[in-house]
Amino acid sequence: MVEFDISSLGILDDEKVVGIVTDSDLKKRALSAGKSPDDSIKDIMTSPPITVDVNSTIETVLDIMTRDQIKHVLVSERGEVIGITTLKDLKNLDLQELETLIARD
Amino acid sequence: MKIFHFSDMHAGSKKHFREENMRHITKEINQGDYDLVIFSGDATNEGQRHEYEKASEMLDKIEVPLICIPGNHDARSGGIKLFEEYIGPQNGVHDLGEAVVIAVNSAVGDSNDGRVGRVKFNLLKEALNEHSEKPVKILAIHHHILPIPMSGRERNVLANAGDLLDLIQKADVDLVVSGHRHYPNVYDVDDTVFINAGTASSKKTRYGDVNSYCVIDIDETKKKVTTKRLNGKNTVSNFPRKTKKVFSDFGSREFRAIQMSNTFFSDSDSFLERHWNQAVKTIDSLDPNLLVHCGGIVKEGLPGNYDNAIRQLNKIDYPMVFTPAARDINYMGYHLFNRHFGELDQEFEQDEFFFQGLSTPQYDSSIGVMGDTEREALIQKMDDISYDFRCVFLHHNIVPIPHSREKGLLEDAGDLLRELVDSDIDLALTGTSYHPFATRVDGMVVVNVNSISSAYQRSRFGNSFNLIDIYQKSIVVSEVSSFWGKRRLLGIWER
Repeated sequence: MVEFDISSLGILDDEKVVGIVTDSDLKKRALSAGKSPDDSIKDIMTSPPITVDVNSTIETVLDIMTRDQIKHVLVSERGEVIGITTLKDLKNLDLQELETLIARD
Repeated sequence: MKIFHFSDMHAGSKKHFREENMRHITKEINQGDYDLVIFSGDATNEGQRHEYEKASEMLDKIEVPLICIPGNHDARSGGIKLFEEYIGPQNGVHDLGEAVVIAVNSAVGDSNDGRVGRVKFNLLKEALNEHSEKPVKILAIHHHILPIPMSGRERNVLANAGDLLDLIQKADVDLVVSGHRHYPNVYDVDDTVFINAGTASSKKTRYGDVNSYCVIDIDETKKKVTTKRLNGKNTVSNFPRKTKKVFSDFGSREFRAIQMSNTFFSDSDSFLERHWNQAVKTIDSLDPNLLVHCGGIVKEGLPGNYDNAIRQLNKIDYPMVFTPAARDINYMGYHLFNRHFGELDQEFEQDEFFFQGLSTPQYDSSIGVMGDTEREALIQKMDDISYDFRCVFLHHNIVPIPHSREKGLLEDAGDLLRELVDSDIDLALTGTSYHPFATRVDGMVVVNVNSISSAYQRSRFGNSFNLIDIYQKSIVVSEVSSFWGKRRLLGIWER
């Protein structure tokens, strides 16, 4: 997660995505729960992961994020995971406007 | 599903039309086991009624379901109305059960250039959305979207090719079938196969070649394209239907390059110094092996701007290579570039990695050119060296870039792209058009970079540079915001 500067990873079992682990999982379910770095990822991942179809709208994804209090949603096409979308991706839609605002002084 | 694809018939023209070819092709179609025939435009030569009469006579003999679109020649002399009268609608969405074929007219009356206007672009987008779950999605459009080899000085002629390419990739289209350039060509661009059939029956072929058409076999596992030349010579290209989308094993990281362009060093407001300074800090934290500057170093080739450039670049402690843009060599620039940065074509090597710069700008012109002599020497050189990873970097585009007109493309992009791909070059870096974009053409990853610190840029993400991480088993390309240091993935490809 440090190497790629990302906040979540899909967990694979035999090339199939069976779960997801996020930085808040590492904080809440590992660090504060006193897990050791040698413990299995199975203990802290969310499984099965919350997944939306590739044809879903941004609004649907936002609804799911709000309903389940999560920041990461996996995206699937014909039942197979092909990507991930995060709350930050959605926030990035407005990054340019924010930058213009802050860069001006 | 088996599809017969032919193009550029140019019927009825005494000077251009080879009727015997059409008789051969019709026989081939009617005796074969084809599910569908697609004709991708230029049924006539001048859009005249007698030509349309001939064209429809030829097409009527085809006994297999046929989809036709017009080409630029069909729109000559107001001929587009006759196309509807003799052949059929200009555009259409054909639902064939397991497949959908979207036919789009890209012709502009009395012009050889093409365009898919705003309304039609949105209709195409809607149609692709609506049919997004079809197992096979095909787009038929007369003008080529990627530059075609052997097409001489002509570059891409579809004004918004970059936006179309972006839409095609996002919508996961399986096949794009085109004509126009009278030279057959096949590319796999990130799982979309772009097919140019050449011309079926026009005497106007290129480089002394013969007429051609394509046969496409598509099933769940593969796309097979056979380019058939009328002298009996066949070329087969096979592409898998599905490539890896989930990555777990990258191997160790072997090389980290940072790609940037359009620093625009100058005393003007268009050089955003605050963005540059923030980017320098992020670059330090990323600790790259190499920085590749794809041109647009200074705003104009003036001594003061070059002095500024040297001051700003002294803030960076990593190895750097440069390739010029036209703005870097205008006015005194040709002399100043040479004095401060050295050779126009720069290179870098480290272990198994080799980077070759290609200087493409012309004095006082926004159009880049490589030239036959230099291109031949370059390909020879790249073929002779034996590095594990070979990269070329240049300022001008070799594939169309979203949100920009095709004008950033190199004049001979068609030839350069084909030859780099055929030489198995691993990576091509470009830096014009002010918008980030990354894709893969056959085996070569092509990455364009936004401007790092120029007020002129087109991305909602803001000014940025690219981070290119080369692992043992994959290439990971991300865009990094100049001001925020925030990373965004542009693509991952298997090596």
